[in-house]
Amino acid sequence: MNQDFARTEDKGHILVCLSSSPSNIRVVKTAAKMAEAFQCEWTALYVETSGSAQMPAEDRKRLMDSGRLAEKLGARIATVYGEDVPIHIAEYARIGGISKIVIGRTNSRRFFEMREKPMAERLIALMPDMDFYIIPDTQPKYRKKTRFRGEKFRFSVKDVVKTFLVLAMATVLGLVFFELGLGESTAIMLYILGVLLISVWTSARIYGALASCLSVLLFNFVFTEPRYTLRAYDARYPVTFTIMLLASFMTSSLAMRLMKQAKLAAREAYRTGILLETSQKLQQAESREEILYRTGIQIRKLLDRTVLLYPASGDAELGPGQLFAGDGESAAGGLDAEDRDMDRWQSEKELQAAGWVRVNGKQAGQGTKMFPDAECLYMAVRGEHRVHAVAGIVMEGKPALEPFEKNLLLAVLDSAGLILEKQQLNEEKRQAQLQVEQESLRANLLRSISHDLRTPLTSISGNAGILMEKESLLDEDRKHQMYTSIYEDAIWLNELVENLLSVTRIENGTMELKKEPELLEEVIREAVHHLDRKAGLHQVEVELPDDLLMALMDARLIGQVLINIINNAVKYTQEGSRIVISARRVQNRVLVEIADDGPGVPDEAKDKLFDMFYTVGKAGGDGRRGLGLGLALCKSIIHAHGGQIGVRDNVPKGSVFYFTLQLAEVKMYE
Amino acid sequence: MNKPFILIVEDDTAISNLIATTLETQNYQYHTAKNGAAGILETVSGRPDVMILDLGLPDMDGVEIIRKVRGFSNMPIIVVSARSEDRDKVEALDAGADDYLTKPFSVEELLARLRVALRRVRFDNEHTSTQSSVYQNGELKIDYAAGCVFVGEKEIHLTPIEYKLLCVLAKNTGKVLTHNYILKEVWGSELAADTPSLRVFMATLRKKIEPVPSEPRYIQTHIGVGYRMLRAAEEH
Repeated sequence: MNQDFARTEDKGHILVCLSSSPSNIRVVKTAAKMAEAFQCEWTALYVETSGSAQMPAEDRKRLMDSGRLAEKLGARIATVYGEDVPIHIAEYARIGGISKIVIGRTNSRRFFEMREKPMAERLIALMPDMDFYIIPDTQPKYRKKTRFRGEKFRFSVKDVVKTFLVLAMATVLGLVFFELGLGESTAIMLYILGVLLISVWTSARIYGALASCLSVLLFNFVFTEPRYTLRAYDARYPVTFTIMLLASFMTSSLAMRLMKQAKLAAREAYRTGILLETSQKLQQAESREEILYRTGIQIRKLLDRTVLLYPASGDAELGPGQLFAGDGESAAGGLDAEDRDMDRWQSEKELQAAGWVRVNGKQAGQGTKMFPDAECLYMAVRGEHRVHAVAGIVMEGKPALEPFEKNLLLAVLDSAGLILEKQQLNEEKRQAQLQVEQESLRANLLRSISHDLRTPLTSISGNAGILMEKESLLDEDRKHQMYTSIYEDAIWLNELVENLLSVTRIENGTMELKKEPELLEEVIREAVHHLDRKAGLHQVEVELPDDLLMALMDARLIGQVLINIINNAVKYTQEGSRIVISARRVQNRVLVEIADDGPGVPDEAKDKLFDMFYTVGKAGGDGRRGLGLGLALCKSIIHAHGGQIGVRDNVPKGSVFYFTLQLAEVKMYE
Repeated sequence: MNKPFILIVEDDTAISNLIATTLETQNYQYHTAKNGAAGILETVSGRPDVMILDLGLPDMDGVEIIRKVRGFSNMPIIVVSARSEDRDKVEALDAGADDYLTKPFSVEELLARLRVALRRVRFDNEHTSTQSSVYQNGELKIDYAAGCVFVGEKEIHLTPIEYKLLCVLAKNTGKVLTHNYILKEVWGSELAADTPSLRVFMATLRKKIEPVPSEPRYIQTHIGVGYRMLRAAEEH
């Protein structure tokens, strides 16, 4: 186990980028060999863009083959979504603690990519400290079929109007300047300006291109000799036209790119904002349920769709799901609405898909290869090692998620996964600690027991022994004293054993607490009945203003608490002292108090009184020893009931021991 | 009454001797059986007045013994059990036992329980012929025919449920009745009401018929187990 730990720590993590290029297979193989050599983990990453969906079949096949090979060779496969591939690779590398990246230098030529730097160079620029391994392409050059990477073209009347409007304005202004004698060059500039404006103002590239052509034509028509014809006499004009066309194309193209980048940047900012908010919200959550609940809310907010969240339970099962209705009605719709909806998404098929995701940790459902006819898309919320939950996004006829949305969703799920993992680790740590504490407690207990049990046992055997051997030599009083002593020691031992049993069972967690509404009057009376004999020498009174007062409790245990506390009062106060047991309702709790008018408890002892094995000074004259368990047990029992226990001073003298219990209201069945 | 004959069914010799010695001091007759089978045999042949049954016998389950004995005899059965669990006491009582003792018990407790049991036997013997329509227990009087309850001279007004409750207890005077048993007898099933509300009813009933509610003379509470109606002249 230690070796594995050292491996991941020192040896790092290799990332290989999957692509549809033919040489990617070789890149993957190289990465596998490297992982073997460095003895470390490796991940194969694919960045899915909006253009990926339109990939030609052979490209897709190559991509799948690469992916499958990587998986077979032992890589972990990851997919992220986005438009700008190098940025997302860089981000993944940063988050995933990647130490080495393996990519291929492709030989493909893409005509329109001239202005964009090759991916490898961009990556290096983004991550100057990363180790890169660039595997050259030994395949013959191939032309990657270019696709007009455009957004879906939608004809928009508004944009056409805008185009014509701007061109018209440019023409008019140009004419004005022309008549003012500023020449036709101003007009050219104005048209170029116009094309720029159109590129920025409209939604598709086509308008910019169209505007470029139109502006040349307009220029020709309006400004060149012969004016208002499409003929141009001057021999220079063709050059002017060409350059003008080129200029406007480039302007338009640049403008579009800038727009696109600005939009991407805005999205990134939005995304970071959401992630930050999610992270904060999840960090603040205190329990597993709360984390999942907040995650559900965030996803719903993000995607504006109905979300289902199933927590993982056991080794491969899912717990009951939670629905986050995406119609904006949410909680207002009431539980009934949510329950009804739940059934819709919990058919056999849906549950199967969710279950598959739970076990395999990969996506399934609508839009994927596994269970594509399901109603929802299911994704795993996973941490480092295991799946903590499964999220189901209801597709319900709405369009498929955009890559951007998917990426964001992934990020939120990852965030949730990590926090759930952390929470679970904390929980496990806490349990381990608890166990250690219990062990030491038990050890202490055993030590005390063996020591403190021997004393009364010695007394009993001693007394009995003498009585057996030397009975005739003793006088009646003496004999009676010894009999009494034996009897009292035995009773004391019995109480001790009961207390011990209870203590070990509570600490162990095996104590079954049966909380039921019980009448305070009955429990108190029973306790008073079982007091130590010495209680007869004191004035024990019960004050119960409302004798139908009931509290939620385990009668036997609370009885034991009362007995312990009252016996305590009997032990530590003078003969004839007044001990008053009372119970009354305080808001929605029941307050039970045992007041005495004895010497009281010193301030510094008040807190420690309820600790294990704590005994206060010397007891009364008969040297009654105590294991110091009684009050500690009371504390355990009261805490297990969710109540509080403590001691305060009584006026004018003495102490008041108090504890609280949950009030119980009882419906009467007539 | 001739000397009462007590049957002790207990496998632990020390405890058996203890009980035997205690009985001797009261001049009771007794017989000891070391296991369940012997105990049942003795019940049939010897016809004891009361049985003291240990629940931890080696050969048979205590509850089973009770059921078998109840098949042919109505004699009082006092079970002895260790303190921690209420469950086995409740089970034994539901199966037909009358009372219970918890280890360790004091001699006084043992004798007191025996007295209660013997009183029931005596009472039952004296009254088997007459199906009395009036129940008299110290100051407490229930007129079944008229459906009225009196404490001393004063008539007490009880709700229908309280009346039923009182009757169930009275019919089984001297026996410890479990919560479940009372719920079944009064409400018809254990589901129609629950133990907490039973407690409240019991408390209100007590307030009405007990002269000193904090020292109940008639209705005795057994925490975690049930309730019992005592014969007025008894001490505990």
